[in-house]
Parts: sequence; structure tokens; C-alpha cells
Amino acid sequence: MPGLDYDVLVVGSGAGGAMAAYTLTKTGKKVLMLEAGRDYDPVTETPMFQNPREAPLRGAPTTDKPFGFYDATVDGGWQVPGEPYTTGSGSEFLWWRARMLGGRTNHWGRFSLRFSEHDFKAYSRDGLGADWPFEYGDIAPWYDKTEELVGICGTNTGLDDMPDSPPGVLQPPPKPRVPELLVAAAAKKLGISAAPMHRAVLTRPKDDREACFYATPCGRGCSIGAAFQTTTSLIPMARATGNLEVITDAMVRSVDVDEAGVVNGVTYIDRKTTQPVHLSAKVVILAASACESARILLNSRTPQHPGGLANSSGQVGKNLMDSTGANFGAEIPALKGRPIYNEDGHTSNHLFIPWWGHRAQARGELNFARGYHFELSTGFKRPGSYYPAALQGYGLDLKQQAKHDYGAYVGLALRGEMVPNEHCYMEIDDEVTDKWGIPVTRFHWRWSEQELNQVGHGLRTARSILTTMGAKVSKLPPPEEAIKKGGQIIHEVGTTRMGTSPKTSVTNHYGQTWDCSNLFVMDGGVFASNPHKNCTLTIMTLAMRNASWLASQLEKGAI
Amino acid sequence: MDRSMHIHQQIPMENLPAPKQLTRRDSLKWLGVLTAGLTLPLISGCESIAISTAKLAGKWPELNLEPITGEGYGTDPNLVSPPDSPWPLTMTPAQRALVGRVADILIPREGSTPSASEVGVPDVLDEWISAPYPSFQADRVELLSGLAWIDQESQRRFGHVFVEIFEQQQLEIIEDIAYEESKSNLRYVYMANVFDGLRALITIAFFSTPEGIRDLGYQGNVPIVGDYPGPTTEAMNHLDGLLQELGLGEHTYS
Repeated sequence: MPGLDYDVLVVGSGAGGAMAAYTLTKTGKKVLMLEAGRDYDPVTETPMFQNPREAPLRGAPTTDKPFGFYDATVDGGWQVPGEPYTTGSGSEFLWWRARMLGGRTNHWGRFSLRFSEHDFKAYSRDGLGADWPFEYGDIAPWYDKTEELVGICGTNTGLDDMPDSPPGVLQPPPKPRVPELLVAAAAKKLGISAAPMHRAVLTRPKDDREACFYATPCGRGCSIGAAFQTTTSLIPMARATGNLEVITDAMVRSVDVDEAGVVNGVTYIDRKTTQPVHLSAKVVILAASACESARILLNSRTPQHPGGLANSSGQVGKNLMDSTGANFGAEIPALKGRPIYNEDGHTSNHLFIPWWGHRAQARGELNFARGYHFELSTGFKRPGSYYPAALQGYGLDLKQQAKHDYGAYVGLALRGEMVPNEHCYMEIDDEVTDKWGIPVTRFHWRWSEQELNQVGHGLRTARSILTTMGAKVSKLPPPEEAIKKGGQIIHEVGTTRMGTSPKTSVTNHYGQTWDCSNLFVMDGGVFASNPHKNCTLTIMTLAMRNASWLASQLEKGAI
Repeated sequence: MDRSMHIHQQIPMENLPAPKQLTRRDSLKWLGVLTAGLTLPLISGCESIAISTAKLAGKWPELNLEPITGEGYGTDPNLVSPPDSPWPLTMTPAQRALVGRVADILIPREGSTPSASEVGVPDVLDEWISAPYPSFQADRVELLSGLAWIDQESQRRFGHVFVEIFEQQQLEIIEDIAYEESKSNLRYVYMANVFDGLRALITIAFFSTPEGIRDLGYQGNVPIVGDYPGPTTEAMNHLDGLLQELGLGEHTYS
């Protein structure tokens, strides 16, 4: 039992939950945080300089560690032991989960791009999906604060898909590397701009966190705190206020209500004792991830809330979105045999290609409604994660070829915005329970022409960029083969979307559920659309804004 | 399918990957893709018929192996001090000798740089085929069948297993399976594809040893104080030349 007399109970310790807890504790509110996974300390547990050679199978992916041995994810990946999910017939969907303090922030890509005015009002422009219940200008000051707190490297570009930050907010980005400069020149010839990627990686020290030392992949976690994760930043900072208590190994099953149907606590399964525990709460914030929070709501069915909690609109679990994804690349003959230097950098792309097609879309020249960007994968990668294409022969000739071809590969990874559709949603599978006895999630998924046309456009553009660099490019795969599966880009959002009406949305623009004034959602579930710019920065920004509002309401006694 | 493309799918680590690790992102990080490559040779058309025809023509000694089952390293292994030998190795001494010989034909000693077997590459292959994961067990069937094919071919041509014939005779066999052209010969196409996988694994295993890293020239995985310095002057001069050659001189990034 918690020792704290808490004002707010937060479910989840990832991007949304930790930011909510940080914001509330800073205003003096007492917060109890529940995390389904185990406690986790990046300072002692991160393999910072370990080589692939020291890992089983040279660190190759296995079903135990699907992103490779050194990936930070604990007890998770595409499957969590004993916690299955199912899919409807004809649907393929992948759901990445972690069972650790800090959740998926421990291994995320740290790509941190602001959504723009286009993004928040896409429905007004093209009539698809839904608008967000506010404008970019309403959110911009909160982006400023979040970027300042998290620490984002990047630059203001003035490009229409990349809103500027105020002077002094962004930290300087690392210099671009040779293959990235070549891609940028090729793209420029085609009328497409490259720009520094914005990443939640410190290039200057901040708080107790050190600046990046440009080695060892961020996906392993970062013991020096340069690459942002909540376990080296928001959670310790919230703890330092004395206002936060965390219970790990607490798998929340339901949000509970009193006889009047008012939220009064949660029930979780203690993973160590396997026993259910009920905790009372004045205010509950769900930030367990979009699909886990929706699952909790749908599993919180009571006579007072027969369709699941906060679901009078019937929208909980609906509007499920991921990013589109497709990868295409080639060896660039011109890059073979080039001078070797240290190309680790901050271990991800220093340059990327933001969406350049707003005007073409406005003119009706494209057969898809929403944009995408390209992430670049290049460089003299660490041996063990590199293999030259099409090695031939044997002996010294083989070695010579491997060395000559080293660092010549350029990969372009498309990440795009999908349009929500009625075939993409999640619900409860009443026939399957996990090992805690909790009914599991069933996913339904189907890409529409919007996404396939977008990926087709992306593949053709990627080919143009690669051939402009002198690559020979084999036949393009059809979009339906190239597109990744639903969920595979791990940007799932939308299942408890916010809006302006209780009839068509689950929460108001503060993430407060329309049906229960003391129940909030502060993860990606509240997204009204899923712009292609990666969801985490906006999850944190909304959590900061909405938890600030909640704090003010608590002070007024309004909640 | 174009396997070389798949082997390269390094995904910007975000999901990540890896990525990461690139890829970060789907599980197609480097070696994991071997599985797909080994079980789907580069034969177009009706795949299953093409595969069985190629196996027949190549007298493919498909081994009937019970998959190794058992515990892997689990979903929460110690990442800072990885397990030394996470599962029992299972190659026979004869298989290990054969792998060692093939590895050294692929990566021989070169001056002071050791050969593949001298830096433990056969251990990596043994660990690989002994890993109790389904995809690795699929690789095991292909790789061990491939080794059996090499001995069988050696017996057929020279009357002895591979490690007992002369080096020149060994190279005669390898010549027939080590090139892209080998895949246009129905007799060798299946083995040539398996050999691609074997070569990939041996090459990666070698170049990820300290000696291999030195040989390749990789400069990273060292902490840098201050800002990332970016490309060297030499590398930038080289890039400038490339941009001119490719007609991109006036499109330089700024």
C-alpha cells in the first residue's frame, strides 16, 4: 500500500505518464504512479560500449529480443510473455510493448518534430478523419516548454512542414556526414530540401544529464542521460520533489467507479503476488499507451458504464492509427572506397527529408492526402551491424570487396501519415485472457488507397534520389508489399481521441474524458490524427499542458 | 526477392531501431534476415517447384534434424555482462573442422591479420545453429545441409571429405558455388544461395572481432569530448569530387 496521500493516480511511466507526474509534482500535487513492468535503472543497466561480439549471436534479433540483444526493451517486444493479443480475421497488426519503468521511452528513436498548423487542421483541408480541438498557436508555447525541458537538438529551417522554435530553445545539431550530404545534394537537384533531424539528444549538458559523446546506439538506452528517456529525467526529477511515489509490477486491470458511476480508483494485479489490489483515487490519469489505456477502459465495464468506461461515444478503441512505413535503399557506387572516419555521430540520421508536398497536395496534384518524410540510414556502421551487398567469391578478393563497399549503402525509410478508417480499430477479445486473467485486445487493420498511393509515391521518389546519386536501382516493389504492417512503426495512437463533441470523441482538448470529469487520458490515445512526425514529442507536450490545467483545476477545487 | 536489399534494411532506430539500430525498427536487423535469405533462394517463378527442382539437380542432402528446443537467454537478460555460452553448442568435431576450413578459405590469414578460424568464427556458427529459436533452427537445417553437400561433392569428385583433399581441389569446389554466375547453373543454384548465407555469417563474424574491426578500419564506438567533429578534410574533399562527377556541384547542402 502506498505511503503517500496522493492527489492523482497516474497509470504508466512512459512519455505521457512521466510528463504528467513531473508537471503535477512540480506544482506540489502528490502523485502515485503505477507501472506494469519492473523497476529499471539506465545508469547501471545500459550496455554503452559493449560490442556485438560480446553478445549472443553477435547481437542478432531473436524472438526474445526482436530488436537485437542490446535493445533496451525489457520483457517485451512484439510479444510480452503471457500477455497475448489477437487479430481479427484478415488483419495483421503488431503491438510493441515493454514491461519496465519508463516504458518505450527507454529505446525510442528520439525523433522529435513538432506538428504544424497543417497537421492540426487536416480535416478542414481535405475532409478526412478529424481536426484537433485546437490550433497550432494554442500548443506552440507548450512545445517550447517541452523542448526546453526535454532537450532537443536541431535547427529552425523555415520549411513549411517544420514550425520554428523560439531562439535558444533548440540545441545545436551535429554536423552532417558525407553520405547525408550526398543525399541532400541529390534531393536538392530534385527540388527537395533536407534538414537536420530534431532529436531528443542533448548536445549540451542539462540538469543532471550529460551531452552526447557520439558513440553507442540510443536504442540501448543512455546511461549518461544524453538521449532522453523518462528514467534519467522526468521520473528522478519528479521524485526529487518528494511528491512522487512509484509502484512497479502493477498491471492495471480496470478503473473503478462508485454506485453513481463516478471514478474512485483502480484495480491492478500485483505481478509478484498475482493478487488484485484496489487503490482509491480522487483523479486518475491513464497513460499506459494508446492501446493499453483503451483496453483498460473497455475492460472497466460496469452497469453504470455498460459499453466500457468513458465510452458513451462508442469511440474508445476506434480511430486506431500507426505511421506508414516503407524502406528502400541501394549501394551508391560513388561512395565505395571513400576515406574512412568516425561516422557514428549521435547514431541516427543527422539529416532527414521533411515533407515537401503541401503545395502539390493543395493543387490537387497528388493522389493521397497526407504527407511523409524520409529518415536516412547511412554510414560506416559498427561491424556486426553492417554487411556489404552481394559479396562475391572468397579469400583476399572477398575481403578487399567487403572493405571497398563499406559505408556505401544508403537507406531511405519512409514514415507517413495515414488517414483513419473504419477497418482499423481495437476491441476486447472476450475469449482470451492474459496470464493475469485480464481480457486481451483484438486488433483489426486494413490500409486504404490513401496509404498505398502515398507509399508508391515515396518509393518512386526514393528511386529518383538514389539514381541521382548514381545508384542502379532494381524494380520497385508494389506498395502493398513494401508497406509495413499496422503497428510495426510503433506509433499507434487515436484510440481515445480528443475532440469538441462528446458524441464523436472520448476526451475534451485537455484529455479529460467527457463522461468522467476526474478521469484523464494523457498518452497517444488522444490524438485526433497521426501526423508523420513521430508522436512522442506531442504526447509529452499535451501531457505537460493538460496536467498543468489539471493542477489549476485541483487548486480551484473544480475537480 | 533481392536479398542484398533485405540484408541492408537498417532502419533508423526509432522503434528501432534499429534499428538501429536501425533499424530500429522492424526486426530486420542484419543477421536476422539471413533466415529469410536462406529459406527463400533467389529463384523466381513458382518457388516451391523451382526449389525442389534445384535440390534434385544439386543432389541436395537435406538433413532431417530434430529442432533444438530449450531456453533461450530470455526476455530480460543481463545486457551489461552478456551470458558467455547461453546454450550448449551442438556441432560435431567433423562439422567444426569443415566450417573452420571453409571460413579460412573465405577469410584467410593476411599478413599479421588472422584468418577467420583463428579468431573463433567457427564458434559463432556453432552458437548460431545451436540457438533454440525457430528461425535459427531453420538456418541450422540449411547450413548443416550445405556442409553435408560440400563433403558429398568432395567425395564425389575426389573420393575424400573436404578437409582431407588438397587445397587446390577444395578451391575447385568453392569456385563453382561462390559467384553470382553459379546461380545460373541448376546443379549449383541451391548451394550457391546457402553459400551466400554462410559467407555473410562468416564475414560478419570475422569483421566484428577486434582484429576484424581493425582490418575494416571502423573508427567509432569511442567517446568524443565536445561537438561531433564531422567529416575529415580528406573525406570532405573526396565528397566535393563526387558531387562534381555526379553533376551535383551546384546543389550542395547548406
